[in-house]
Amino acid sequence: MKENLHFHNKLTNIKLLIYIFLSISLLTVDNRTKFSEKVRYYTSTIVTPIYYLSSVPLHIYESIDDYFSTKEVLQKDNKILNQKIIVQSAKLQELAFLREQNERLKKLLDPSALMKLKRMTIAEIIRVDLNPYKNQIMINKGSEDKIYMGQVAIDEKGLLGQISFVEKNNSIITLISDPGHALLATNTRTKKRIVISGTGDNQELKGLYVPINADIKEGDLLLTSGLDDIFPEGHMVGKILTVEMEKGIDFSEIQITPAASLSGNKEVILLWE
Amino acid sequence: MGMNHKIHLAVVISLIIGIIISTIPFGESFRLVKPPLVLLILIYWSLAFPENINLGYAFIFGMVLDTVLMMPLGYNSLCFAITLYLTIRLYPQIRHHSYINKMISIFFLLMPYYIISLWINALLKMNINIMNTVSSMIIAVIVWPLVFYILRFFRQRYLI
Repeated sequence: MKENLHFHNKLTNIKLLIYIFLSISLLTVDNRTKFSEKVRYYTSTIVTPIYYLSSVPLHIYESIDDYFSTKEVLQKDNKILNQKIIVQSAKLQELAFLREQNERLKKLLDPSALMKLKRMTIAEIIRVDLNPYKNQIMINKGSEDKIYMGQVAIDEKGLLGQISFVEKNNSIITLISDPGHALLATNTRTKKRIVISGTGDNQELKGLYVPINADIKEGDLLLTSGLDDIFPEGHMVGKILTVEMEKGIDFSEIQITPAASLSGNKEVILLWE
Repeated sequence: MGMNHKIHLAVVISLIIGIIISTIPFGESFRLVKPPLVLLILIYWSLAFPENINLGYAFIFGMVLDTVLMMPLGYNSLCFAITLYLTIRLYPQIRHHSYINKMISIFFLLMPYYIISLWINALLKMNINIMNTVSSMIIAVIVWPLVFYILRFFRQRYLI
């Protein structure tokens, strides 16, 4: 009996070593070749139902909530929304005029720099919790809807992120708040460029490599610059919250509030090239 | 169906339910401090049936969790295998402890899990937040009795 137990122990030790070796080599290979994405692509038909299952409780909660929301509340909401539509269509009229004017002026300056309105698609967010150490959201459109890698996602207030993984019926958007994400923006006041990276927190971005003597102030608005070949020019990224300088560090510490609501949206808008 | 088969079936079903629960969103602030539910379920079963539950379970279900959560492949299987190894090794000591002591020992058993995951996060340039890690540990210790009693209830009802 004792010998048997001893053997069992020895076997466990060897197994542990084998599994550690296997896991570490998998991690290494995956880091180099993005092997796991291929695995994900081929297992997506098995895995996707899990996501739908896990979003069931939220749907039930919401439908109960909808059911009990009274007629008055709905009427009130409807009124507010109608007013919003009127205001926004008025603004759109103005926009059409401005665009026409803008095009005319741009033609005078440089005929190649014409800006075209982009085709847009609305996709719904599938609310599941994925990797807790990354800022990603999943949407319900995939390669069947011709979604492609690097496609830009925005919401009504600003830039959300880019598509980083495409499956048949879903795809993943990496948000601009992801710590591995960076983009180049323009300060609207000074026209200076600034590199914006995520912090992992959806309420906060940070500006990188801004010298302490640079002209940058709280409340400055930041737009995408269009220089990174991914994000088109002129989308709202965020607003500068604080600019801090620390002794002995060459760059100032810059906190930025993102313009888009990176968590809590139900839909996203995808832009087409 | 033999007893062994029944045990394995129960373990697999509970682990799959654990995986589904760990993808349910409970709000933005809770997302970062989620306890490792699948690992807690694995720890429970390895305490209940140390002869049946081996490291293979930790490795395979770690990989499944990686695939479902879209994490780097091998991330959770490494963390789970090491934690489960420690659980199996320390099992004779833990088994006869009082409930309070068991909760404290869960805290220490989960420590290597969090340390290893922080290491991998640092290597792969993912998010590192010590406050979230500590809160997740505390939540895991609070959730543990719940996992323990629910699984024990089903075990006593359907298995032994």
